[in-house]
Amino acid sequence: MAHWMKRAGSILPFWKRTIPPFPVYWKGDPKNRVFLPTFWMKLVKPDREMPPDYLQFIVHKQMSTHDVKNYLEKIYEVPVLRVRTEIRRGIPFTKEMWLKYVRNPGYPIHQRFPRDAEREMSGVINFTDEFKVAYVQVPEEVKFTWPDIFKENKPLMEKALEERKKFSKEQKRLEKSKGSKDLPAWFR
Amino acid sequence: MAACMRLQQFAGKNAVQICRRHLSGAKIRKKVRERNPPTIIHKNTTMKEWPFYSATASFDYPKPQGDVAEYPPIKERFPPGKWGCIPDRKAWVMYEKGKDLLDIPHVAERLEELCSKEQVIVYQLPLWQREHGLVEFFQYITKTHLVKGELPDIYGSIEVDDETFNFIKPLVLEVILQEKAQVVQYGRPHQPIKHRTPLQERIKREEESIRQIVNVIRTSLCRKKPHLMKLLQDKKVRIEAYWLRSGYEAIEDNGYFNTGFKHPKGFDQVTKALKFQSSHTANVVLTAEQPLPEFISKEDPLCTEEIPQFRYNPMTVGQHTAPSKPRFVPGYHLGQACEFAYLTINTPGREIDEASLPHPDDMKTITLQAGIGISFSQLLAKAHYLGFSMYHNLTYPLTCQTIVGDGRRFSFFAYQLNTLEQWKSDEVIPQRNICWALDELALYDTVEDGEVKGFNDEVLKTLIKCFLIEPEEREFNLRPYLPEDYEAPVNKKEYIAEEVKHGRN
Repeated sequence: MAHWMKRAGSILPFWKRTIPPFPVYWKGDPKNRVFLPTFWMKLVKPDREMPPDYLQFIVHKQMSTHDVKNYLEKIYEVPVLRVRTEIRRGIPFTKEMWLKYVRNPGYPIHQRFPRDAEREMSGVINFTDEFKVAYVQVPEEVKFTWPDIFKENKPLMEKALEERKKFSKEQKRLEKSKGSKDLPAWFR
Repeated sequence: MAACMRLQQFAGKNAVQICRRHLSGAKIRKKVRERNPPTIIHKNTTMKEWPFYSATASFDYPKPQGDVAEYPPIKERFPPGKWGCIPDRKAWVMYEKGKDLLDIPHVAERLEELCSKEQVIVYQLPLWQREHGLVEFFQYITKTHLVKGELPDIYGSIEVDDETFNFIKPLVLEVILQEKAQVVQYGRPHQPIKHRTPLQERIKREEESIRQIVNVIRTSLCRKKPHLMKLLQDKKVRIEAYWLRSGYEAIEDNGYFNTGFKHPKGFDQVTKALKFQSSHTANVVLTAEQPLPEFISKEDPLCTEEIPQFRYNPMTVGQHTAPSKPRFVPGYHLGQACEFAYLTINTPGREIDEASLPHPDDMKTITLQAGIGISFSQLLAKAHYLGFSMYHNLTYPLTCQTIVGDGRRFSFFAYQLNTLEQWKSDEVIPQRNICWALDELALYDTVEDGEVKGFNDEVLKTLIKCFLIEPEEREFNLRPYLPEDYEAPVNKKEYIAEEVKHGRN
């Protein structure tokens, strides 16, 4: 590691930093204990349709399958059958998305990118960091259902959806009339 | 330079410009020719033909018809057969592929045609899998209906005599004691035993004890049942098969993680199905010259029973894709006399250490899914060697028996393959394959002080019953899609010479 990169750890937010090295244990020393590990796990909705006994997490990049299993079993007391992990490529984002993200950091970049634009890679500035995904299989006794957090705000969401539908209709109409701009609007 | 001077004298200013480039007279002429190429007219050709395209092509005008109008036959929208959700144009493509396949006389050439020379991305299915709860997944991709805790009625009709049972039982007990007491030293005598881990040693014992039990039963029954003499026995047999499975149209990788694939990997665009390639090595395989009797008729209501609809992307259950050539390996080479399945015996120890499994019921589910997968892929490969394929469905059901065991515990399976059309939708083709499975049973509990304790007679009886079923000779043609000249390898006497002639095997 270069000397200037050692400083970089302190600039990064705490949850993105690498794990500090575990102190070496010598015989006769008191037992090493970790009270606040830098590990974290984020439960997300699965991106593909999955069987009901599977859960999907985004986890700290340095966590192994054993770490995930112990984290769930020891801290949350959730029995775990199997864990599978994989590292996903970073997500491309445009300038508009970046600006939105800067103004409102809660804005999820990776959920909003339209798929057709992704293939063309038009207007992509950069990619986000890579991230690790963990698939956890739990026994059938454990049942998890996603809570309805936005129960009260539902009508608002519906309104937004309607607006979006309208917008998409107009967009389609405009796309159709791209080639015939010479004609007056009635003939388009 | 001399040429330049001469040009300068005769041609004035224009020549001077060329001379500055230090070009000889021949080169100047060449350049001029390149700019204005002369029109070359060969003797045979005329200006009409080239470069102009002639407007009058050779075309026979239709002759004037009589009173009755004659039209060519109208092509139907779909080819014969049931096609389901497959669009008409693609159905015709598949139909013609199957037609072309029939023109190839030799089985080996057909298989070459079927298994494309290029590699394709497929889901690779090792049939021993450590994943938990894949029984429904295996049931769906192989299109099997599972009947638990039963074996077909044929096993009920067979009875084991007390004479034979009392003859075999002490022999089997002897084998068990022998295997336990034996100091195993594998490989060459000078090789120390330390090279093997205790797990490897245990696996070796299991595999060999099963082989010995099979040998004992087979040899002792041979005098009464002559069909056991004709069986072909092999050990460490490779079994591989390739197939397509429909029902994955709805899946799209449109998650918020950009996988970049609209369709899942291993997706066939024509049939809208996923590709699977299974691979397995069986411990002992017995094959027969004639097929086993069918367990139930095709018109039985059990053949159209419902199966679990496990339509999730296989990636979510821990399956992975890899590029590979499709292969069909039934466990024997082409031209072998014994072409039909009789019995396969598999030991799970090599791939799976039971102590490391997290769930107590894992071993049961693993044996179930392995039993389904092994018997299906084995029959599928054998059907392809008999001339059937995904284009040409089975005309009669194929059956087999499989045993999964480690020398102490045994689980029995009986399988009937009814269709090869897994790539069409289930609504159109209601026929399902059927698997009967008995729960895991222990042959004995322990061995203490040179005695076998807790010996279970019923397990041994069901083991013997598997050998008592006789293969049947059929009246109809067993290989309907092969040419009429084709001689079955059972009837052949000089097949080796012919094979050598073609340079195969």
